[in-house]
Amino acid sequence: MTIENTLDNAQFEPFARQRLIEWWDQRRLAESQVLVVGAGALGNEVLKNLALVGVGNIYIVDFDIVEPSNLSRSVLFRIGDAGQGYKAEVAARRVSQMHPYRYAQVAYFHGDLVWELGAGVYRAMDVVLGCLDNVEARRFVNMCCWKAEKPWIDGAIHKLSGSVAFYTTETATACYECGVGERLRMLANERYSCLSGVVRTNIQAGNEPTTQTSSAIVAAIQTQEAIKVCHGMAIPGGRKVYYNGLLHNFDVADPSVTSVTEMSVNPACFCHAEDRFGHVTVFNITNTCTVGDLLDLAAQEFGMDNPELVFGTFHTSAQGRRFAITAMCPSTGYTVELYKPAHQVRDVDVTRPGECPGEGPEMRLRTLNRLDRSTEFCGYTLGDLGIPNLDIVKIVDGLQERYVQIGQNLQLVFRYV
Amino acid sequence: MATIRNLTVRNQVDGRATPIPEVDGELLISELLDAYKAEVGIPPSQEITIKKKSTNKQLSPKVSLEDAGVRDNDTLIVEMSYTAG
Repeated sequence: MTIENTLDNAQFEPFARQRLIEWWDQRRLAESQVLVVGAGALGNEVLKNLALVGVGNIYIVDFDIVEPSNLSRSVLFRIGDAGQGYKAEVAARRVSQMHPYRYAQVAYFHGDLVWELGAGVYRAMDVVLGCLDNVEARRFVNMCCWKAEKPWIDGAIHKLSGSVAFYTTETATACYECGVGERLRMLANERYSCLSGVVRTNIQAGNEPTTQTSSAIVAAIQTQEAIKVCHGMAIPGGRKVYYNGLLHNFDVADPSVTSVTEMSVNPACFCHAEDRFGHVTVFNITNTCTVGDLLDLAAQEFGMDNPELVFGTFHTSAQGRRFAITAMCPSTGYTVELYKPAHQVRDVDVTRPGECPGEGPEMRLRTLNRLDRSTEFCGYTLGDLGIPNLDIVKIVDGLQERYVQIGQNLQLVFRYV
Repeated sequence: MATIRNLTVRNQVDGRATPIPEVDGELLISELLDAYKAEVGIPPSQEITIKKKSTNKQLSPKVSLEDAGVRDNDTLIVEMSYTAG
């Protein structure tokens, strides 16, 4: 036995039983990078499973705080967390405490994954596990995974039942967006105004009936598939497993029917029409870099004469990532200066005031998502434009297009516990 | 105009079967789903999909029954789309 094997045996001793499986590779799991988006009922179960099987690098994203209703459905939360703890942070701390692998790294990001989590994060992962509760976030995760060519496994629950969908990087298979029709698209954009894409302030989120048991079952299926991905096993994409906890066999008339459905590819899919990131040049900067400095860097790196920064074109929410300059009443010209990312503009910011006699309640936004070196915004930082660290932007000069990632280190985004 | 006969639409959730003696083959899958929702009392806001039992392949809502390969005596299975996590 080599020294390395001896060390392996010591650190991997807690996993002795699963290592009896002939193809199981504990070291591979220990080196895997897994992103869990959503730390609610499903996310808690998934995180617990990932820790227990020994996934070595776990990243958690959620924007919420722990609520009393989470306590009965979330294995990682305690009474004292309710009303004050960030879900992502609390989950990260508990996962870290329970993780049997002593060198495990667990990190969290508390924030809005749709607008505040850079697409480059997805490039660093082996697999993404979706434990989300809304269509908007699913659409964006799907787009990021598609462009970064990473598999993602989407869980969802309802009463005693649930589903797990597998999305891989194969173009010939369905992605989440393929199944998003007009109604779901409207639902996804519910928190944005139709007219200008600004954030509505008066939206009530609905609560769905779910159980602890269905989340445990669905999370187990998700985790099991993630284990396969981390081992390099091919899992077929564009498929959805339905779990029916009411009947345990949905087709009582014919038990031979499987609960796996092959989803159909939508030829008009917005996501399938997007190119992949492919080669991405990583600039060793942060989003405190100014637009001017970024464009100078790009000119030097790519030999471009007139580089132009293009951002947020693949964004699936509202009208994409944009920088809002002004809001203007279309009938009177009454104007309000904004100078902030459009996703930070609220409907109340662009509501036509009483002194403006124009028509309609909402003003129109003037926005941009392309800037060159002649822009008046050269001194603005990327953060001012709403571009988060590790996001991926496009630098364009004529026919030349390059994807650039803002920074490399995941520590720019995640806090390690 | 082709008529498809003796279809069965089965609900994945409760296993309940809804027979359709005759249907126009040019009917879009989305129209069939809307009619099914109305027939069995599924709220219009509930997203549902449908697959062919014999292939387990989901049928695109934008194509007609005929173009989706639905034939006489087929069984279609309606599945719910869940969003909670």
